[in-house]
Amino acid sequence: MQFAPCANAARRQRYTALNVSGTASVVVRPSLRTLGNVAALAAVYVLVAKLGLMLNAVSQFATVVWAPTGISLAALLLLGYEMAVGVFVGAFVVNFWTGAPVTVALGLAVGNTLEAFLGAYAMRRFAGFQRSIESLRHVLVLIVPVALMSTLVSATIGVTSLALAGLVSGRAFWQTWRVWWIGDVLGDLVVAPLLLTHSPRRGPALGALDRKGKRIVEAFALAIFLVGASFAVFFKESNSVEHPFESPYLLFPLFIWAAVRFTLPGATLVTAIASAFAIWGTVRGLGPFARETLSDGLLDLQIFMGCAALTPLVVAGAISDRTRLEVEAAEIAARHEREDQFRKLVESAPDAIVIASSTGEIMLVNAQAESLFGYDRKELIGQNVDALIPERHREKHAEHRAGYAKNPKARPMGVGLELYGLRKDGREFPVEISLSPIESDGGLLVFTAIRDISDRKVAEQELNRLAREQAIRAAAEELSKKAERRFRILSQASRDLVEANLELSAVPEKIAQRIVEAIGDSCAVRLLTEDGDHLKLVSLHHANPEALGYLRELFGKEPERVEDTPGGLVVRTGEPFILTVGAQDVFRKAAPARLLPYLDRFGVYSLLTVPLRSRGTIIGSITVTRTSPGHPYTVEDQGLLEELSDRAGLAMYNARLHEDLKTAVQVRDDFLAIAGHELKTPLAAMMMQIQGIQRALQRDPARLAERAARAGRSALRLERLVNQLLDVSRITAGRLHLEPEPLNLSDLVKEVVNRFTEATTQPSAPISVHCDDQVNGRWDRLRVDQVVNNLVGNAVKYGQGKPVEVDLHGVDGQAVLRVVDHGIGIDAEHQQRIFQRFERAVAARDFGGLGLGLWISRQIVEASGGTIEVESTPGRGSTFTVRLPVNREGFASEGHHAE
Amino acid sequence: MPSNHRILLVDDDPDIREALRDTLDDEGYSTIEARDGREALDYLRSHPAPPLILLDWNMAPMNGPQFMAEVAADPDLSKIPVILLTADARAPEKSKSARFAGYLMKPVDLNALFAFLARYCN
Repeated sequence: MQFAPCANAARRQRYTALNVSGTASVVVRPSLRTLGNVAALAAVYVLVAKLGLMLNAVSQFATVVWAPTGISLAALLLLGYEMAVGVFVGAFVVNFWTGAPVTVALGLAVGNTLEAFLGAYAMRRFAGFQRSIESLRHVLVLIVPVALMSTLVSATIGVTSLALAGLVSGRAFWQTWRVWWIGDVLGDLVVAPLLLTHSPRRGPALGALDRKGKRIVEAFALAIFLVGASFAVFFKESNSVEHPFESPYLLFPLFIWAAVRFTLPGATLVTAIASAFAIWGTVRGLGPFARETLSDGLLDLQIFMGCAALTPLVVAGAISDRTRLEVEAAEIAARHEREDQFRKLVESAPDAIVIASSTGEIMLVNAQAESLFGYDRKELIGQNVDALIPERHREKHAEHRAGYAKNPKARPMGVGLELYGLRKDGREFPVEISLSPIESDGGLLVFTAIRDISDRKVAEQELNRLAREQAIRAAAEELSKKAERRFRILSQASRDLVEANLELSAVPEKIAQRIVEAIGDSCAVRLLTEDGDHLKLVSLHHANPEALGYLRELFGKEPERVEDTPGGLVVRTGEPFILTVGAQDVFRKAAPARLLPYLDRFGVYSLLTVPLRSRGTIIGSITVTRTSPGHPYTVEDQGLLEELSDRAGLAMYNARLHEDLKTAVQVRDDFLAIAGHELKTPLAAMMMQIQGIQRALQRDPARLAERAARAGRSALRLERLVNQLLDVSRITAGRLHLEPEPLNLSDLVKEVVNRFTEATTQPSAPISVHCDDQVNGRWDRLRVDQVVNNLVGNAVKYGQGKPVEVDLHGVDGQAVLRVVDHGIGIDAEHQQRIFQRFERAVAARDFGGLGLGLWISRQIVEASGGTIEVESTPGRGSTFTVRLPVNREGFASEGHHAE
Repeated sequence: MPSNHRILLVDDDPDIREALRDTLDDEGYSTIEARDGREALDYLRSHPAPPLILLDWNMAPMNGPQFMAEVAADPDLSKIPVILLTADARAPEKSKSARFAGYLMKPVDLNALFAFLARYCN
């Protein structure tokens, strides 16, 4: 087996005897070319034959100088058997021309053609002739079966034909046959070798020898000697050899020289040249072969030349063989050396090497492969490579192998795949494999380098593990950074809210500011108004002052209806709204129309709205936006904003509680001040009266009674106030007990009003009363008295002296009492408040009283199952309406309405 | 009754006015009563000036300080001495702030009242 790469291209190209042109037009041109060759051969044949016959023809048709035989043989050998046609035509023409009848000429042509054919056949058959005469074997076949034997056929057929035609007879037959034969032999021995060693198609071996013999000076010297010797021998005047230097044998050393130094081409050329000079000299009647007749001379010459020609041919053939053997031996040695180097290379390779045929048969392995796979070299050689591949991959591998054979090129195997090798002990290991094709005498071989990458795999896994760990660490750091940022923001927000110092209005501002710093370009905080239908913008921040102004203009003026506000949806659903990238169009469609110019001008890239809750109740919304593209809001941002919102909501709840508490404390303080004043005033009056009484005792006892009465009234007033305080304490403690009794409310109302009109010594308001006669029911007399008294008292007190109207009707099971004044009235904002404890609509100092009356009245009315309400227009007066359910018993006033 | 015995009494509480009126009557003075600063001003601008005004602090619609400001702006009235009647412990400061002639704490110490009467009405 030869593993060394070799020049396959040259090797593959096949030479045939016929066609070596190797051109693309192989199919069409051979016929034309062959035809041309045939014609040319026929022409040359005729020319050379005529020349030979002209020199000396025996029996008109035979000559010892018969080059056509050699030319025919060479033509058939070099150009193919088809050339036999040319031989036939040439032979026929020349013989016919020479005078042979057609039949004879045909017979001669047949003989000549057959001779050439047999000669060529013998050369191919017995010498393995291919392109040129190259070896001793060629020479010997040329000499014996070709030159000596095939020529017998031509001579015999030719002379027999002549004889049959009666052109020769008797002794002339034999003479003619002999001349014919010798002429043909010489043609084969001198002319044919010349052509067969000098044709442009001669074999590479001969070429190599030829090149080797390219010694110009030596060749020139040989030529001088040859020409000199030829003249000396063949052109001397006498045919006797008088001087050894005139002997024809003088040529032999030159023949040997040529044969040894210039091998077959040299030998054949020298022989041919010497032969030419010899014929020339002999024809001129000179030289050792000058005889009485030219034909005798030529015959002798040709016999001599025939024998002489054998020597250089045989010697050159033998030398040629030896040289070739030497070359081949050198080639083989070189090849062996290459192989050896290759083996060494394979052995010294760091990788395991397996060389296998394209079918997978293992041809060569190196020691690394032995140790890697755990096999002995001998076990592996001849095995299929499948033995080295895990079972599960074998099928695929066969496919891949077939694919590789189709497109062999050096490449790594199974790019991107995990490849495994299989050890003899059954263990698998990861491998990396690279493949290279090798052309060899035995076809495609695959050179496979296998590297165990177990260690690398481990290292890779370790690297991967490290990379993963690093990624996890990085992610954890990122997370902790985020968490830290979130914590920082939240703690800052908490600090801000603490700084807001429980001040309700400061909370949205602080939180909005913090939110803009943390996660947005703008932030709007909206709060639901008391009616729950509107949102009021309470804080607005925007990084761009122009946009801020724009938004203020847009949203800041009036509370807006919830459904018109960007945050409205969030307030209604309680769900956060997030606008991320790509939803701009949707957002534009959903946005209120008046917002569109803002969107066009300043843009909203991402938006986030969350509800603002206080103790679980939605009280507003927080909206934050980013205007410049790049960072859309994420769920994390949403979480952060919700967290901030919750904190704000809690802070607002606390602030509200705090404010309520502050208000309560303020109200209580105010009340105490008022109560103090209120209690002090009658006391002051009383004390002055008592001082007066003391002075009167000393001076005018008549005034005593009057002033004592007045002091008593102040005491009563004091008692009323104290009673009110007691009522408050009772009601607050839930200890207000009603003692209902049958009662005509009309009587009670009239009685109260009378008390006012009688008791009022000061200029007072006129009070008119319109009552149904009977408004009967079951009520607590004293408490209802208290209510009516309070209402009428208030009407007088705040009535600015204008008429007060009191009317009472029984309507649908209800007693409806209205007390109307036309005084200062009550602002709308105070109308609910006045029924609260300690509340009053006007400044305490202006009107006096504890501010408890209406609250107590309301408690009494509601405890009786009724209602009390007020309608009032500031500056125009107030109407208080009390509705008390009539408790059935004793009620008989229905239908007694007075208008 | 001499005109210099007619005292202008300005207080919104009828009991207080009554008590003071009774007391002043007993001492031989007459009183003109007003329920607030406005009534008092109306009276002053249409009647001869009283020798003394007793003025409550808290009244409506026109309270004591407002009344004092009006009086101060009126050269005819600004000479009339005004005594502040108040229950407030800060009476001394109040009386200084509006150039009161003096103050009386409620309940009024009659001897102190008589001292003022003696000073301004005789």
